Amino acid sequence: MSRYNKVKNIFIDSIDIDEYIELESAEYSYNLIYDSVSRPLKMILLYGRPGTGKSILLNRIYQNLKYQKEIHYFDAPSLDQREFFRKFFKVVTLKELPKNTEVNFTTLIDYCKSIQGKREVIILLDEAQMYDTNMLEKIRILSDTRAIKFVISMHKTDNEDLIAKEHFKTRIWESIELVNVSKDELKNYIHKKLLKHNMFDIADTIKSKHINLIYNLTKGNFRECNKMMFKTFEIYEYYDLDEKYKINAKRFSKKFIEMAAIRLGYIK
Amino acid sequence: MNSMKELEKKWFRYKLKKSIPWFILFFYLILMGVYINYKVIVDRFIINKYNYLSKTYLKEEEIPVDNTVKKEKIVEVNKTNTLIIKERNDTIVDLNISDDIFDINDTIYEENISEPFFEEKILDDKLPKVKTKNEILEEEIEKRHEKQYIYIKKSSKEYKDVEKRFSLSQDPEDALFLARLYYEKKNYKKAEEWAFIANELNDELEESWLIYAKAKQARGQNAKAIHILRSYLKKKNSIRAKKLLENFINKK
Repeated sequence: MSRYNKVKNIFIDSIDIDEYIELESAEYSYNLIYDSVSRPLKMILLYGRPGTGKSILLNRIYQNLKYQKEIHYFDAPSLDQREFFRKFFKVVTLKELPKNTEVNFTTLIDYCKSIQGKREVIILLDEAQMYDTNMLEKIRILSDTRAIKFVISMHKTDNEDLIAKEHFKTRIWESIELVNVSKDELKNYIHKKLLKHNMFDIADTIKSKHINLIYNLTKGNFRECNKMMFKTFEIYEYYDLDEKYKINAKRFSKKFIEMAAIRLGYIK
Repeated sequence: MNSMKELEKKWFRYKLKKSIPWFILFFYLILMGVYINYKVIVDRFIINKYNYLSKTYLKEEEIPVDNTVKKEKIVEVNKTNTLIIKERNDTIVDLNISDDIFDINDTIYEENISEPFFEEKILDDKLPKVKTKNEILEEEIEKRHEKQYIYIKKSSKEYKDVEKRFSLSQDPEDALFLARLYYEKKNYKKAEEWAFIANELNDELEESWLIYAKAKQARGQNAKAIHILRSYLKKKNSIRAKKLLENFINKK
């Protein structure tokens, strides 16, 4: 098996906390969320384009606070309201909802009010853009009880300004935007990822010109960058097994990056 | 494996597409290089030709030995009132230039020198042409000043631009324009020179004849100017040339 097989797997897109790479901008956002969670705020909005590191940041918050606070991470959105409230009922009441029963929303609100000041439940909602307006309105009402604190993670698109959305206008107390990283940070990200897995020699061959190319193709988006690196090392793996003479171990191949970009449809 | 080969082909096509602007730039630079080289060769040719013409013209004008002779004779003239000698010497020098420039009636003109119409008319010229030693010296000083003035004007941008353009275009209109300009600025020597160039490029330009004649006349070579105008009138019946000729004759 080619050594590039192992290298390419480093760049599999995941929210695994062990794969988390500490970058300056990500650290800044983490500290903001951490501070906000500690304050008596009702709702915190975390938004940004897909692939800017929202999920891994939420996961990191969850992992770091799960033994200190009553915190729950809803990573997959529940499209069915009943399913969402069943999950919500369990984390708030610490009991399973009996089968064939539904949560009465008014009773749930009353229960949340009853625990206000006694407990503080933090719910991390990932991919919240999947919830419909009705559901978001109910989440807003629940946060108004001040017993439940929501950290909502959403995609931001060109057409919508999340903060301007009616149901968030007055409820959002803190909003944090995650953006694509700079060239320098992208370089750190790629190098740190490789160094974390002891790929010093490969990290050493990736120079600024390669980073510039990767940055221009991915615009500093983590997900796109991971895809690109994965594909590049997949090409490396192929040549390593079949046409080894085409690989120069001392120089990272711009050609392979461009081939990966063609394969991913970034360039035509 | 096939998909990787296909991907590599796509990459080659992509690289080729990406390098098209560089190819265009490369060919453009080559074309520019060829064009500049060609221009340099053409410029050099024109400059050489121009230098050659200027040199022959200057050689004819300089004749240092003659000048000294002329000066000596002028000094004598003051005493003896024999102005003819000076006029004749000038005419002979100018005639040689004319032979090259306007190749009409050269021999006739040379023959005409000995003919009475020159001498008679020049002999008719009276006292105003007799100059004292001091006057001659003053004239010399003025001439030197004039030369300096010409040099400054020559370096002005306006003249240079047109001269530069002429060196590329060889347009008789440009030469005529310069002749006109120099004549207006009273730089008759230059006006004469450019009128000559304009005439050589296109001898149908009436103005080149007229400016040439006027410049000659302004430089005190009246007989030569008359001869030029007569030569032109033989070639073409021009009212302006006739009027100018009458003017020149009357001035005598």
